[in-house]
Amino acid sequence: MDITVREQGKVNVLVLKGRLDLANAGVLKSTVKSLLEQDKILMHFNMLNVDFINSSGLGALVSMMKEIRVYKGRLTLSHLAPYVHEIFEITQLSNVFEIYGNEEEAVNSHTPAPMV
Amino acid sequence: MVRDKIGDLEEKIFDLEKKLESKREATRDIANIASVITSLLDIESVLAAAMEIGIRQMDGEVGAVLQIINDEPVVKVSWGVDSTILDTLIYKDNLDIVRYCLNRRETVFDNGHDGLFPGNITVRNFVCTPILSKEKVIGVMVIFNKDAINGFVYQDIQTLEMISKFASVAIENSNLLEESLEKQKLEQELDLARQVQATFLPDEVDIKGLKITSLYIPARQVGGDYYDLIPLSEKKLFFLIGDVTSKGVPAALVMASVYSIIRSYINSGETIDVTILMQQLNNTLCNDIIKSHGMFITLFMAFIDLDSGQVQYCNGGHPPPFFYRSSTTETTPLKCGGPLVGQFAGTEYKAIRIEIAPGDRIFCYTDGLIEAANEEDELYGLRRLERFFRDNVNLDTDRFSSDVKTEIYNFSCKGKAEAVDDYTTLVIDFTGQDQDSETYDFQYKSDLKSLEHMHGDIDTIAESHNIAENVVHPFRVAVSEAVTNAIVHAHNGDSSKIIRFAVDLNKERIVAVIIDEGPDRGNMPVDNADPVGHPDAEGGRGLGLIRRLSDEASFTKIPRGGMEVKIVKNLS
Repeated sequence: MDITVREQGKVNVLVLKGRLDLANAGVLKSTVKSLLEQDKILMHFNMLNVDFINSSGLGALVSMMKEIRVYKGRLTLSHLAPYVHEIFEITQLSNVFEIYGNEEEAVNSHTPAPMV
Repeated sequence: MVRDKIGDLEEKIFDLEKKLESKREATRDIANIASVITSLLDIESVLAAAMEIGIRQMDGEVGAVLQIINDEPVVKVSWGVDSTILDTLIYKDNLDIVRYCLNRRETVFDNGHDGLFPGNITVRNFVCTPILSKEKVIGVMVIFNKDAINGFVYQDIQTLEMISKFASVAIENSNLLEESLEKQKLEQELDLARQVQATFLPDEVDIKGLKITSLYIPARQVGGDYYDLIPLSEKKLFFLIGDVTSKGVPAALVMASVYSIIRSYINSGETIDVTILMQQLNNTLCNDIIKSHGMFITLFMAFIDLDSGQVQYCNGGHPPPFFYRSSTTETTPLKCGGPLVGQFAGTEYKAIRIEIAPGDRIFCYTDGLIEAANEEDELYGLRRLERFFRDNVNLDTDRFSSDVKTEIYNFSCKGKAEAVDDYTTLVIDFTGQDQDSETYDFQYKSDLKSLEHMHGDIDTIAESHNIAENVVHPFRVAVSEAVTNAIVHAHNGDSSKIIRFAVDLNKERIVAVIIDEGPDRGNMPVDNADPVGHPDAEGGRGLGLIRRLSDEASFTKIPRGGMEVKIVKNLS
């Protein structure tokens, strides 16, 4: 799995590429862990190029979400491919994760809109 | 006075002690006799020991032990007398001592006097006792000339009868031993015959367009049933089913003949004419040992050619197999041929060709099946079998065969009726040539890299068969769950274990089978597995996903440990 990290303001955007399963979950988890330790607690996963996820990948996402919560941070997801989205639906994790249609919406959601 | 009384008492005590001591000695002797005689394993030694002990205990001069063979006493051990002397010792009722004793079936003794008999031998006294086994006289012991004034006393008779009893026990033991050795030898022979027979039974054959299930139920003895399946090419199969009219080693020998005659015929040419083969087989067997031993074999043989869509068969006196034609749903018996094989040299057998089409079935059996009896001695019979065949013709060959077995088991009162002979069935389905069916077989080392290989292999299959992504994706997820489970849960990270991943694909569906090496993970909660877990749970969604994403899924424990997961996904 390829992971590119970039910062959008306070939000750390991780662009993921490849399969999210048992073989790849470890890399992602350790990337997230090191960001958290640097107090980078707002996270977004752009999953446009994730073409496969199974229960091991979902388990890793749940574990990372719990870890981020411990740091009082937040995790959003975007660009779920249809077949990947279906797996979220079946497991009803689509109700558990904050899933956005695109990266911009998701990143914006991390920054409260200025009061008018 | 007192002193006298004490003296008397002392004398009495002394007497009693002497008697007690002699009693003890006698008991010791008897115990010795028992242990010596009963430890011997063959009749000759038992009789010899009985003689020696008898003479010694009795203080006799001469004696003999005779065994009853064909109702006649035969001297087995002689101690100074032989049969010519014994025969001349006519005692009473015009019988010699031995025969007189045999007649009375009890101990006879006489302390007569000099000249009890005329002739050279001086018989002063004798005792003669029968050796009985199960009420039957099996021998006689006779001892002459006890060296004592009184001759034989009551105690001697008792001792001799005791020796005779021990001898009889020992003889019975030795008979039992001989029988059991005989039985053991027979068992070994049968075992060998069984092994020989097993080597004649064919391996499973895998011919596209045919589905074959055989069922071989041997009797406790080595049976006479025999079948063979010989693939000649990818589309040609020769098969036969037969029943030799004997069992055990002779049956195995006949099978060996048939086996080799058929193989050598098949190896000699490319095409098979079952008429010629049957005639050759018949003539060879007629000249062989089997005719002279009154044996014969019933034999049905057929040659299936899927290229021409025909089956040529010849039936040599075998119960006619059923042929089910799916286009007409009719069942006909395959009778054409000739008489049983190995009895009538020069017989001309007929063969016939039948057209076959996908959906057709041939069902062969041996007569043990229709001769299975229930507790009322009623036979299962052809009529029941035919009805069963028609009623269950839609079951696949495996299921049909196992149902036949259950049917016969139930009919014969769950095997209680003991009247179930060996039987064999052969079910052959013509499934049609499924050109599009393809199978793949992969093996992975049980580590995380295997997930990579699995994806690559699924990609290859999906591309080469143009499988739509909406089928491949759920199939891929389901398979990945099974493979991950094997790595993590079954093999617990042990990368020396192997995961087998087989795929079978036809026009309608794609089937994956994932097999791990165990150990047994116990009962998996497959039926109620739910892909929806607790939102915070990191695991436990895999089985639910397999169920949800496949059209059919099964989890079967493998007897040697491990699990077989089958995932079926319809292509449309």
